[in-house]
Amino acid sequence: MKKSYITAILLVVFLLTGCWDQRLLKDVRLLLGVGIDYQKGNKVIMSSVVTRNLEKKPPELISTTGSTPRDARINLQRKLIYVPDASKNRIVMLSEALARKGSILEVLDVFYRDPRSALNAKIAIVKGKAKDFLETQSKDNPDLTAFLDRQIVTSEAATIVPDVDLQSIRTGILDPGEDIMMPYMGLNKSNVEILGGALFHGQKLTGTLTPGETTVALLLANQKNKQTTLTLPIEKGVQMTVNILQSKRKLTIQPTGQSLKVSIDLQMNAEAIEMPFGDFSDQKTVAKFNHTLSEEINKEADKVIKKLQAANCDVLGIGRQLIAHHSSYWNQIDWNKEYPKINITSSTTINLTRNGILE
Amino acid sequence: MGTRQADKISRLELFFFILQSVIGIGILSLPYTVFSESKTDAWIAVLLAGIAITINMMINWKLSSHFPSANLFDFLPTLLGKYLSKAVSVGYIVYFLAVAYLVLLLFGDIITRWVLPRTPVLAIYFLLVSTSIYLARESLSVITRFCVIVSIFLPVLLILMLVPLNSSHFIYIFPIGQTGLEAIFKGAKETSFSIIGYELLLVIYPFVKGNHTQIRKVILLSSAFLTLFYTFLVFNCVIFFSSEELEQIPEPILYMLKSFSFRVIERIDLLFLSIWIVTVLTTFVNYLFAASIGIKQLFHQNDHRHFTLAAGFLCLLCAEFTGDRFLVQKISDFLAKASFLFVAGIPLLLLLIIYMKKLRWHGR
Repeated sequence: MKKSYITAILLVVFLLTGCWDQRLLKDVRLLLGVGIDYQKGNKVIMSSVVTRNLEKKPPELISTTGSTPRDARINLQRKLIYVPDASKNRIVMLSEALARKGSILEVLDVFYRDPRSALNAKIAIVKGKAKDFLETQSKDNPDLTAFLDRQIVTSEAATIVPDVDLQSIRTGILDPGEDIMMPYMGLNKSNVEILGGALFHGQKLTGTLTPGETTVALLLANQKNKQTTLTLPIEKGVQMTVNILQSKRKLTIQPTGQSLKVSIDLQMNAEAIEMPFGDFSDQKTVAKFNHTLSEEINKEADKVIKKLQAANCDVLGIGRQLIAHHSSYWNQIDWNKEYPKINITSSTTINLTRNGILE
Repeated sequence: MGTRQADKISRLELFFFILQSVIGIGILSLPYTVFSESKTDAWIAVLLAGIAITINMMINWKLSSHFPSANLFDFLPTLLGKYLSKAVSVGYIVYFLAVAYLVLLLFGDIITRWVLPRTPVLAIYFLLVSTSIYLARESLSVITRFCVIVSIFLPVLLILMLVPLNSSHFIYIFPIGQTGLEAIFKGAKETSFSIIGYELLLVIYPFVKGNHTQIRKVILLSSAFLTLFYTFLVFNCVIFFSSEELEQIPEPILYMLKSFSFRVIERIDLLFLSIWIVTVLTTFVNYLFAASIGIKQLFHQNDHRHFTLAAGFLCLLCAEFTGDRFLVQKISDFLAKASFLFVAGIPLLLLLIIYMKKLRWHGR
């Protein structure tokens, strides 16, 4: 009798606890993507892609203003019948102007502090206004706004943009020995496009790379993903497209006295995937191809390294290597001032090992 | 206290009893605590702490092995006399209750912050306390068997911790030893304060089957397992987060797991938490049991059940009326220091008394 009494009480308690914290899908409107713009007077405009759970319609885009992102989200709530819920958020887009102000972690705090927010949401920098970007997308093809992150995910797999998410950029930003690169998107006329990589120094956007340059930068940073294609001039007026099969990078760092010598050795095995005038049966020709390709990629790499240094963006993690292996040198210098000045040389070789099913 | 054959536990059960007593509330915040002292050498500090813990365990074992059929509360009078032994017994009981109370407080805090923000914390306390009382009322063999069964979750915890390895940066641990010996020792000190639970050995020792050397082997095994387990957790966090980031995250393990999702399970951190709740429960149960056994023997009773109920609700009441989280922090810091006394200080002292008594006996 006594035992059954206790059991009954316990069961009642189990029934009760769910009530306080239950969140029914029918009572919330899920945020699928967020775009944040800077507005004069220290305000932010937040454009949110929210699901419509009652009608079977594509997600809608609602813009709200607030003094902080959290404030803007509270203002969003005033426009909705149901509570907006960020736990399924897939992407955060920051406008270029906001990122150039140099305090993106402050803006993103709401995503880090909330225990329910999705830390693996993608993040991208948008050329122009995030609001315009999302509005164009929403007008053209509202169904697609639910899958904005897919465009980034596929580009990541193709080594067109770096593979980062909300969590990993915070690690990179807070590490004194490395900087981050984020996907850079924008409107080309009215098309939503990947524009390359956005370079950061600490929390500040300091430069951008084109898609081709981003791929080279990722190769130099040893972040090759599933597929990597490069199109390089091989003769006058002729281009060859290669798919990188394997890439091996060696970063050598030599602090000698006050100066620092950094050399990057990148060796890649590639497959020709487009070469209309090629003859791959001849060993000499292939050797010539290899030579020209290597030369071209070297030029490209030098250009990218200059751009990285101009943006003071240590995406290669040279500083991290210094901390780990040359800490006495690291302690002497101010890396923020030193990095743009150091001498980085690269030697890149491409070796064609496959040529498809044609000779 | 008579030890009936039915109440005896096997050595395997002892192994898991120690694991489940030690592993609990601390695993979530340990990487953060150690890191704030020893930075990227935190994992070395944990390894060092492992040595300290092993030594402590050996002290407890050596002390208990002098009394094969008596536990702490039985043999205290023979060593300390009537009145002092009562005082020390009460000290231990209060200590066991205080640890249980702190476990409850921290449990409520973490569940509120991570999972159930709107649920009154009293309801969370009540769930843990009521289930724990239900188990701690039983005999030791029931409790240890429960510890054995729920230990199948430990490998799951470890497997979940493998998920982040793919996006970790091993370079973060270099240069090894950069923080210097002092910082490492400080971290090791913090760690050995927060890895407690094996002192319950003093209470259950006479119930374990087997001779002293066999038991020592089990204790050494468990300390090795614990050291490696904790080192693995801390190491994992150090290579995942950059320094400045880890200093801002009090529960790095959950935070780390939160940034991953499987196709079926989106929130791995919640999966981890659900399993972690079980390990917290066993810690709480074991302490509650030890405290009520202590009270039982203090008052020369035959049954510990009523005391379990009272002790459980005492913890619940105290937790409910504890103030803000800064007070909790102070209590936690104080208890960490006090634990040193009860885990290592007093057992060592008692051991010395035994040796002195033996010397005197030999002298005659």
